[in-house]
Amino acid sequence: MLACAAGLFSAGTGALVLVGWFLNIQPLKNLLPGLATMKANTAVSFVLAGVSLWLLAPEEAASSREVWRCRGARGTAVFVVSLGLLTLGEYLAGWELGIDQLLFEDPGTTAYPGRMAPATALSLTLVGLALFNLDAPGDSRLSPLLALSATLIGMLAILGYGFGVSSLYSRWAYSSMALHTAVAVTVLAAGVVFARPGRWPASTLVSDSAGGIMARRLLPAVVVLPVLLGWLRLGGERLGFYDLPFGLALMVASSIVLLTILVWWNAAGLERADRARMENYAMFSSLFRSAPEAIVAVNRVGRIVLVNEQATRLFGYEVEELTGQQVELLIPDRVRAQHIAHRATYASDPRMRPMGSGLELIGRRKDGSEFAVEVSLSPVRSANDFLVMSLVRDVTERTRAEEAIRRLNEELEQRVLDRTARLAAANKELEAFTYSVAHDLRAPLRQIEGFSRLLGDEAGVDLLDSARHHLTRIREGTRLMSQLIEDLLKLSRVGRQELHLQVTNLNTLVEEVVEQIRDDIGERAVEWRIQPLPFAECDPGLLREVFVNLISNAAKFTRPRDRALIEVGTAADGSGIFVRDNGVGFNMKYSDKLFGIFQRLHRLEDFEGTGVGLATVQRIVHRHGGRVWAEAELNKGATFYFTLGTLEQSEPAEPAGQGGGS
Amino acid sequence: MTEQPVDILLVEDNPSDVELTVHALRRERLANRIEVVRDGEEALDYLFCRGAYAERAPKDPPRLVLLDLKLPKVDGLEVLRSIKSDQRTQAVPVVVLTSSREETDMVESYHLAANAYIQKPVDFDQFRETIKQVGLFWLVVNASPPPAAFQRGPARGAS
Repeated sequence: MLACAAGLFSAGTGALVLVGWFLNIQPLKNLLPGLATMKANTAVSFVLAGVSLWLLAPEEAASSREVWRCRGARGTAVFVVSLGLLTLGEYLAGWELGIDQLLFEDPGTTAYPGRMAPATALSLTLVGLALFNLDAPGDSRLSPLLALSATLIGMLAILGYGFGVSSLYSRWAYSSMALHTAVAVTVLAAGVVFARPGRWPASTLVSDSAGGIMARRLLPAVVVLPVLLGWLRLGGERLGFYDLPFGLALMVASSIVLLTILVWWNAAGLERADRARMENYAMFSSLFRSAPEAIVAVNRVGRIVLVNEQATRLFGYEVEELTGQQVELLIPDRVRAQHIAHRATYASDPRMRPMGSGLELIGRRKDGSEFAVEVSLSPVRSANDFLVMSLVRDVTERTRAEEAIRRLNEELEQRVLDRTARLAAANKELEAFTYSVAHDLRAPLRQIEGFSRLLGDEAGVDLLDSARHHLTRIREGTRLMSQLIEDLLKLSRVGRQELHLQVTNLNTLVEEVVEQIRDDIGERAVEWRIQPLPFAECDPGLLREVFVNLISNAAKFTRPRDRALIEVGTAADGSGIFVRDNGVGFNMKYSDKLFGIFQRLHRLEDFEGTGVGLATVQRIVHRHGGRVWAEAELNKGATFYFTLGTLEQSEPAEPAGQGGGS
Repeated sequence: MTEQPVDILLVEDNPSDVELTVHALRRERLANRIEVVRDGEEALDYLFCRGAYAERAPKDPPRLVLLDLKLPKVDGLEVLRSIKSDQRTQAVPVVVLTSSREETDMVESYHLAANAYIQKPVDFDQFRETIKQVGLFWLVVNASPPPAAFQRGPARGAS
C-alpha cells in the first residue's frame, strides 16, 4: 500500500515535471524561482522507477505467478540504473554522451545544461539497484540498504533546503539537486524499503512487538525533532535573538528535555504493554503448568521445547531431562522409526487432531515401562518456527476396562453358546423321549387291549359275569392310559412347536369351537353367550386349543345343571378374554393347583379328565406372552381369564351369533 | 421260502402287533399270502432279494407293504426311502402303519412318497376296523401295479 502510493507519487512528480518541460512551465521545473530545476532525464527516471515500484508493490509479484510484472519492473529498473550510471560517468570520466538534452533543450545557466546533479544520479542509481534486487535471492538486506542510502541522500538535500545550506543540495556549485527531486527520491526510496513490510527493516517497524511499538513512536520524533530544533536555533541565530553558544546550549537543553519526555512517555506505554504481556504470559504459563493433562511441546525437528508437570509425572522424568531431547525418548524403541515418519508427515500437513481421533500410541516411562496413551495434536505457529502441542493422556485404565468388557462379553457369549448347546441337547433328548413315548408306550397298551378283547371274544359265553366285568375294567384302564399319552404329547408339542402368529378373528375361532363342542355334548340345554371379541395376533391353531379346553371344561362342569350357561367375552377393563360357566366351580383354596399338570379338583367318577388340559392352556398363553387365571365359587361357577401379550387393541369383530343350544 | 407271490409284506418288530395285525387280516380272509419281517434290514433283504431271501424271484414284488416306522437296525423311514428310490420297488404301495402321530414323521413319510399314513389305534375295535379297511382297499379295491410298472421307472433312465 505504502509502496504503491510512493510509486504513484514518484511517477506523478516525474510526469508533471516532464509536462513542465514540454510546455515550458517554469514552476513545474523548479517550484520556486532561483532554485535548481529537475532535469528531464531525472523526471523520466522518476516515472520509470515509480512504475517499477508500483508493479512490484503487490507482494505476490515475488512469486512467478505474474512474470510480466516482475520482468517489466526489472526492465524499467535497469533503465533507471543505466541512466544514472551514464550520467555519473559523464561527470567522473568527462564523457560527452549527448544524453542530457536528448529530450528537451535546457536554457539554464548551469555548467552542464540538462544534466542531472551527481547526487541525483547516484541516488537514482541506488534506487534502481534496490528495485532490481527487491526480490533477488540471497541477502534480502541488499535492497533495503541501497534504498536507505538513497533516502539519506534525499533527506540531506531536503535538510539543506530547510536550513538554507546550499552545499547539502548542490554538492558541486555548478549542479544542484532540485527540491522536488530530493522529496521524490526520499519518498521513492522509502517506498522501496516498505515494499516488503514482512522483511527487514520494515518488519521491525510494523511488528506488534515492543520493539515495533517503540520504533513507531520514536522514529518520527527522532527524525522530526532534531530538524525542528535545529531549524529554530538557526532561525533565532540568524534573526539575532542569541549568539551561537547560547543557541547551541538552548538546542541541547531543549533536546534533552523533549527527548526525556518522549522516552518517559514511551517507557510508560511500553511498561503497560509489557505488564499486560507478562500477566498474559504468567496466566498462560500457569495454565500450561497446571493443565490437568500432560502437555509436551515439540518443535519442527522433534525436540522437546516445553513440558508441564503432568508430563514429567506421567513419564517419570525431570523437566531438565526432557527439554531439548528428541520426543522419541518417550516412545518405545520398536515404534521409534515409525513415529519419526509420522512426525515428518504431520510437519508437512499440520492439522488439529483432537483427542479420540484414533491416535492411540504407546508411551514409555523413564524406568522403561510402557503404557497406553491417547494423544491429541495441535500445531502452534510462531514467527519462525512451529511447535506441535501434544496432549498426552494415560489410557491404561480405560484400555484395561475396555479389555475387561471385551473379555466379559466374550465369556458371556461363550456362556450363551454353552447354554444354548445344552438347551439344544436337552430339547433333543426331550424330543427323543416324547417320540419314544408316542411309539413305545402305545404298543403295550394295544397289546393289553387287543388280547383282553380277543380273550373276551373267544371265551364268549363261557365267562362269568365278574370275569367279563374285570375285562371291561382292564379295557377302561387302557383307554384312560391312551388318553393320557395323547394329552401329554399334545402338551409337549405345544411347548416345542414354533409359533405362527397371524391376526385372527377370535369370534370366528370361538364359533368353530362351540360348534364342535355342541355336537359332542348332544342333547343338553346350554345357553351360549358369545360377546364380540377383538382381533388378536396369535397362533390360531394353538389358541383354538385354548378355547377347546376352556369351553369343553365349561360344558363338562355344567353337566349337573338343568340350564347351563356358558359365556365367552372380553373382560370389562379390556384386559383379557374370559370363559364363564355356571357349573360346579371349585374352591378358590385350590386355585394355585389348577394349572398344574395331572392336577384334578374333581373325582374321576364325577368328571372325567386327565389333568393336562389347563396345563396346556397355560403353556400356550405363556408362549404368547400372556397370563391365565381363574375365579370361582364352589357350586356357583367358574370364570377363566387369559390375556395375550400380542393381543391387539383393535375394534371388536361383529357380534357373533348368540343363542341357547339344546 | 415259498415261491408263491406274496400279497402283503408286514414290517413290524413288535410280536404282539404282528399277531394282532395278522389276526385282523385273517378275520377278513386277507392274509392268505402274508410275509412278516421283523426289522428294516430284513425288509430290504426281502424286497431286493438279498441275504436270506437271495433265492426269491425278484419279479414278484408284494402287492402291499405295511411299514412300521420304529424298527431295529434300519428304521422305517430309511426302508421307505430305499423302496421309493429304486425302480424295481418304487411302484409298490407302502402304507405307513405306526403308533406315532408326530408331525415330523408324517411330513417325512409323505416327502418320501408313502402311499398312506395310518396311526394304529389303541382301541382294538378301531384297530381291527382300520386293518380291514387298509387290506380291503389295497388288495381288493385298488388295482395293483402291473409288472411293467417295475421294469421302467417313470421318466427315469434305467440304472
